[in-house]
Amino acid sequence: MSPMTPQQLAERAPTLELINAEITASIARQASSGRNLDTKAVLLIGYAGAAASFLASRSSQHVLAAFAYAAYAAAAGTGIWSAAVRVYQDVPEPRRLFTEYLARSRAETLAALAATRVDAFESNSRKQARKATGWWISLGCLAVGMILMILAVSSAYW
Amino acid sequence: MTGPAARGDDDDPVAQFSDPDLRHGYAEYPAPQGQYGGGPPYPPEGRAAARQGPRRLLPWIIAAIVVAAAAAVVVSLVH
Repeated sequence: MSPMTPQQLAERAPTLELINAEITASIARQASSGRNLDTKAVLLIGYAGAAASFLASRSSQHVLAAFAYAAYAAAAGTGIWSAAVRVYQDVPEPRRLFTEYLARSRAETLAALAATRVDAFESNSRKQARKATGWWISLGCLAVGMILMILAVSSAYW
Repeated sequence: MTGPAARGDDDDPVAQFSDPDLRHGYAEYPAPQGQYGGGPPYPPEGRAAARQGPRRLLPWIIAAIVVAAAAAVVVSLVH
């Protein structure tokens, strides 16, 4: 695709507006999804802490309990990593938008906003994918810890 | 000079128009607002798409963990 001229850009201003609105809606859904992931990660951290506290208050088989504690620690660690504050990309940077785009046409400004939002969306997506991976690892560690805790608590009475 | 010309990527429209200086870091997910920054946060197709894939397994995994925890409590209290 050859580079667009300013004239071509001006002709496509309505399309650019639509594209910009759609990309912005995608970023809004991405933001909401990230907040949901944070909430779920905090739930896992709290659950791992509560389960570890329960295990500490019971008689249990020591080796299994040690592995259960390790699994809970891993669950809490990956959960905290998943919920940790990250720096996400936002568009536009207000000063740059005002100073550089005041003299430009509406179509040029829309094109710059939409294209930059694409880059920001892709950058944020990669961070969110890592966050989701951390959450699944945390959930897996928690599940393993629960199984080990059941075995540790029940085997103490065998 | 920043932007597409600096990167020498003339074939990609995103690279052609993207302005890296328009981006800035935000410590949490920003929620776009405004006439050209708004938009429906949850269009129906977005919700439908969100129900696909691994999320369908999530309630079952959480239920399994809750049941396992309850079993551990019962076992420890019985003995």
